[in-house]
Amino acid sequence: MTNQNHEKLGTIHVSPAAIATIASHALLTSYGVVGMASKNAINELAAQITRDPHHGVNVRYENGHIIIDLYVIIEHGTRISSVAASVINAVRFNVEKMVGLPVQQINLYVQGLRVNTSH
Amino acid sequence: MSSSKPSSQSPEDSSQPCNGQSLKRMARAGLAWLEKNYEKVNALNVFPVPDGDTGTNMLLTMRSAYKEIANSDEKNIGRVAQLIYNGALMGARGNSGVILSQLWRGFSAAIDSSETLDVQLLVRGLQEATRTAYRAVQEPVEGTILTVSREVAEAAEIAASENADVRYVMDQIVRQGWDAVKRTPQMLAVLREAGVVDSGGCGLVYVLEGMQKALNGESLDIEADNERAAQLQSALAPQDELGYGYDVQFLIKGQGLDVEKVRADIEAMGDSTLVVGDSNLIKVHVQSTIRGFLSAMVLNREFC
Repeated sequence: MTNQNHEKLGTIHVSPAAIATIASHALLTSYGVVGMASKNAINELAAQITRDPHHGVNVRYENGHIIIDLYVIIEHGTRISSVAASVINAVRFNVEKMVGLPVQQINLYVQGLRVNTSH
Repeated sequence: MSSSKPSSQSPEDSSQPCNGQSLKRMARAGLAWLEKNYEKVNALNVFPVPDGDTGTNMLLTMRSAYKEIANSDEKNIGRVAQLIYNGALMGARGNSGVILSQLWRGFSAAIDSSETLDVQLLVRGLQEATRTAYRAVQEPVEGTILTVSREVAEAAEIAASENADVRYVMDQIVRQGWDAVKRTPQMLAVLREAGVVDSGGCGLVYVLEGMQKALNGESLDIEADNERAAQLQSALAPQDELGYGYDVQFLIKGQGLDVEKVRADIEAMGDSTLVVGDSNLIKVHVQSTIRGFLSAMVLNREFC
């Protein structure tokens, strides 16, 4: 399913994959996020095999509302609640700015922490 | 801290080694200087999300950091640096606050358990601070606080090879820090388009500049623990972790609109509200989180 915007000359469809691309890009530069993960082992395997460009990002529409699930790995030794809030804020801002549609919900799952051995 | 501190004190004697108490005085001055300037930092905030809270976030993070050492008599500088990192970690707010905590983390890791700080250790500390801060993001964006911290570390290394005086090195650090801040728009298009320098980088140099002032004997008093600071903080603190949310403006068209009623409803939804108009048209401006705003709109259907 895609979201539709009715314009005078026709309709604009924004696919979940397009939104996932925007979200993935925002995550790459989100401070404290050091990697993406999958919902479960099977998804992880599939993501590795297909080299999923939206690894760890799941976008869906429910009743025309955008809902985004993020599965991330965060740097150990950072304040996770602050990193999480900033990530949600950045993804929401970037998607809403570029797509022009409000995001109903962003769910962030901290799937792991990366411990730096040099510390 | 007591508020009856003398208004000036002698410069840190350069023959005296820089110990834990020196770092404590410097951290206190860094906090105080940021406290005086954080509103300027807020005004610059356009990246990564233009929510105008960088200065507030860095200030609250530094406050949390200083709280850990405020009553400490610890002489060991490594131990004090570690406490500052712990405090910054626990109180880190927003992107810039988290990055600031990582800078302290790297600094304290390099200082380790050293008793005192010399120029060489200062350089190593700043280098490790930068390395640590860069590690916690997949694709670091240049033209931000990260760039400023890296250039500060580079400046420290050069200055240390010229003169082994901590005060001289600190002067060069601040000078190069401001220079780096000035060049951030050349590196990051978002800043250039908005006509601002980077807010996080600016906040970092304010902290360093405060520390430099302490090293040169200038006394800066923090507002912590007094009533004004408490009021300031509660007035500033966004209602939830997601910050100030969105700046929303819209028009309400209708018949027989009750401006006073709409104003009361809108004021309940967010901050910086402006509701003007007449019974047929009302213009509304409000800063609110989208979530809070929308849920309030749904609950107040009568004027939708």
